[in-house]
Amino acid sequence: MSELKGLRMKPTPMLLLQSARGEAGAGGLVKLPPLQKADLPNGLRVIVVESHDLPTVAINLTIKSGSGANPPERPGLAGMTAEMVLLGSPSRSAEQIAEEVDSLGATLTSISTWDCSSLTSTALSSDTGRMLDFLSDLAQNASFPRKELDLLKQRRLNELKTKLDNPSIVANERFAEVLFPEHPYGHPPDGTAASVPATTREDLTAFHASHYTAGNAILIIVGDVAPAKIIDRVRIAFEKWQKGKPSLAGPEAPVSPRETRIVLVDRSDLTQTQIRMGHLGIARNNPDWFPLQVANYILGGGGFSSRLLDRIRVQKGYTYGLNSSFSARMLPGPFVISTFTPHETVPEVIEESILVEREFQERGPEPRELEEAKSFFVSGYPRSFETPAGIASALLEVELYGLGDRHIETYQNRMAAVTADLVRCVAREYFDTKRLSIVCVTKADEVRERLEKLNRTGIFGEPGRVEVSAFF
Amino acid sequence: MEPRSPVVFDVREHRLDNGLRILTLEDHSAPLVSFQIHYAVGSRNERPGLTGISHLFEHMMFKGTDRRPPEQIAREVQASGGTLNAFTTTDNTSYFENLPAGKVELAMDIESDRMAHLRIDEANLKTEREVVRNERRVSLVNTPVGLAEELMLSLLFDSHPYRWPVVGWDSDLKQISLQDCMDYFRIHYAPNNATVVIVGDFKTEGAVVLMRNHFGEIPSQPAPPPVVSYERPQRGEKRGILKKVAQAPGFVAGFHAPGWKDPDWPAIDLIETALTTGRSSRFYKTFLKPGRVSAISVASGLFFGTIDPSLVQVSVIAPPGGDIAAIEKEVWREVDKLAWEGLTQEELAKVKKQREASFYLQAESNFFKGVQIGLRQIRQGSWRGMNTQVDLWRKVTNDDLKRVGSRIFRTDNRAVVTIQPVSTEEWESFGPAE
Repeated sequence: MSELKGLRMKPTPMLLLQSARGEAGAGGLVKLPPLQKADLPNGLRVIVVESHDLPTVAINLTIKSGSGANPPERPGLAGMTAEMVLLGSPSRSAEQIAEEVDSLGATLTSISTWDCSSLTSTALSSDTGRMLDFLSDLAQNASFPRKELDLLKQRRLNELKTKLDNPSIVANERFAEVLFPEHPYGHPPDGTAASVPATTREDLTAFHASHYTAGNAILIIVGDVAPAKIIDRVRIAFEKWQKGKPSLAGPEAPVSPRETRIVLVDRSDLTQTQIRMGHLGIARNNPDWFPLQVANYILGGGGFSSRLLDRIRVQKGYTYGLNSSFSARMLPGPFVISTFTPHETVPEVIEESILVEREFQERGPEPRELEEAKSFFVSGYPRSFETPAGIASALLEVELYGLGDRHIETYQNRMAAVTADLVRCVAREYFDTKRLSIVCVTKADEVRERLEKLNRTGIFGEPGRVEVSAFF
Repeated sequence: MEPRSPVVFDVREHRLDNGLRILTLEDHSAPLVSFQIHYAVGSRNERPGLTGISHLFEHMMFKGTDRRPPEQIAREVQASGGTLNAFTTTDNTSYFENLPAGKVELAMDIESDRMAHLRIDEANLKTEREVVRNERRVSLVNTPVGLAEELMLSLLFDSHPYRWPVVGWDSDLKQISLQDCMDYFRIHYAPNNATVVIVGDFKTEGAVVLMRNHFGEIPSQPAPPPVVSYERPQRGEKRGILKKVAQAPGFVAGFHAPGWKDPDWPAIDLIETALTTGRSSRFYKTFLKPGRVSAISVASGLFFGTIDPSLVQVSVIAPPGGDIAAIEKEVWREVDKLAWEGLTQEELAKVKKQREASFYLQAESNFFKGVQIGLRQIRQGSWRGMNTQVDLWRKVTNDDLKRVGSRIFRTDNRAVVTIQPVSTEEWESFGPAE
């Protein structure tokens, strides 16, 4: 942007581009402008970063509890609580909240992940103060109106039903169920047809009272703001928020299934099979996270640079898209390969994937693959910091998972230091082709027999179980 | 609300002798650059028998050149810390590389290489054809409204190529030959049919010199044949039914509407916003919040406003078991209210501010700024609309909304396709879904 007429603008670079050092590659090292951090007496952590490119601001108020904290009989509770927070306080009705946000041209949304619940807002920076007052009111004083709860339940139930028309989402949820049969990670974060109607106002207020506390929250503000002034404003807005209990016990770490299990979710009208295959992965604070990012990129996360896409799309033409990923959470989350293919080629896709994975475990990365993968992460790191919302979510990740104050500035060098040996080691340790959870949303008639045949070949080591499950 | 002057985008314009247009916008706030090449070709340039060739050909552009083996382009960009992709629409086919600053020449090298020296053969057409047919199934056939939308477009448009989906008909995808692809490439992938947009941390002067080095020798081609089809005024409502396995009924409706260049387009933007943006929007309050529908959306144009007149689309999914005929009536009642009575003064001020704020928020990203610049150049004939857009929204009056709304949202001006849930047996009795 070269000109902003009539707007206050200082050409402060968001990121300082430094000449490359050591192994970090050519892309320049990321160094955030000094950020202001403050801990209020009630425990609320506040982080403010200045960025004056455009007259906008991103605000993220995060509660460090998400769907992972749902009681087993109440899937969906964290998400419903976060949503209800936007639907009323003693001084504002749901309608007033909506009018106020929209008339500022702002956005305000609630997002629940496995590990946190966030109220996020984007706004013109001149409205930062108003949005802060607003968030403070909602987070502390949410009133959970019964009328709004009834409507929310109705919306949720409608959404749960219509979601069934999206085979990709169904595949994701059934995969989680198969991999985590006894754990909150196996329950749909949006709730179920049983849990949504059963959730009471008392469930929500109890979740709110124990989790929505200053000591369990982080407030991040990035944009065209003056940090000292903003922190003063935050102090006033949030000083009365209760600190809450020091620590909340979360669920236990999930246990890996012991054998291969193939579940065919039968939907005979589909013309493509959605495939999810994987196993237990890692927690976000696992020290092997860096080499494992590289390993996953080479295996299936790196698009056309990955071996799985090369084999299954480029060489075989079995699919349009394929991706593999570790969902690294507070506790070990899934590793999953996601793809889709015509019914006829389902066994081939599964078999080829396993063979590619084993070959990679055995031989490790080629030098060129290793360099390209590292370079992707090292040189590409600045892309995460392009927008205020991007900066806010990078800072949130650091805070939420306790990655340490130096995480961002050391990220590129740590990634650059990953070696071929290390990648081979973690590939052997964390990829597992003998205890796979596999879910296919498919025309079971057409696929079952051939998968049973594949199962008998010994490709999974010990043969697994092949089951057909009803779709609805 | 204090009045603000709109942000001004200082886009610089250059043109090479072979006709290649270069639009640059420097933004040194982050060490990143987005390089984009937008070809003025999409499904509107296709003919029956060759539907989907624009998109299929986009896939072929990753298949290598004289000096790059298949898919190496993607590997090179990612190895430089960049990301790349491409997208095909009705009106444009666009390729982009988002890179760390200092790497922009890699994008120039790749894009000039594949413009001048693309290498494709029967083998990679065979693979990519299956990939694209697979994409059609997963992104259109097996989605909640894909087939209904496809049917609606073919009803709404009689003679214009907007009547077929960008991904094309499966029967055509099976037939397109290597020769078709090569002809298509020669006609449309010429420097005089392309606009390069560079946004981010680079210096224009140096970039233009590099551009000339990389693209300057590529010869221009005769201009592609113009698209001459146009739609006649519609004389009466068109309706269709799409039966599929679904949890709930729904409908997809299209109303004929002008193209992006039309002076009434800013009013259409505001109507769309008033109906569906935010929780104070009319559709949210009336339909979504009380659970009377499961999903409802309004989309004007096709991805953005279009070159030729196209449509405003309204899509609804009812709650399971919902009475779709009754819901449809209520939706039209709400639309008519806006079209005939306009907005309150507060609402009008609100939707203008929403538009303006989201315009700024999008401008945080080099990529989105570049897409706006490139698509405006191709679809509006100039990128300059970037700098007048906010003023145009500000000038829209309630009378404009009523005039434009009541002209577009007429029963006789629309096509409606109802989605009717059926059993798997009935679905299968219709024959294969492709």
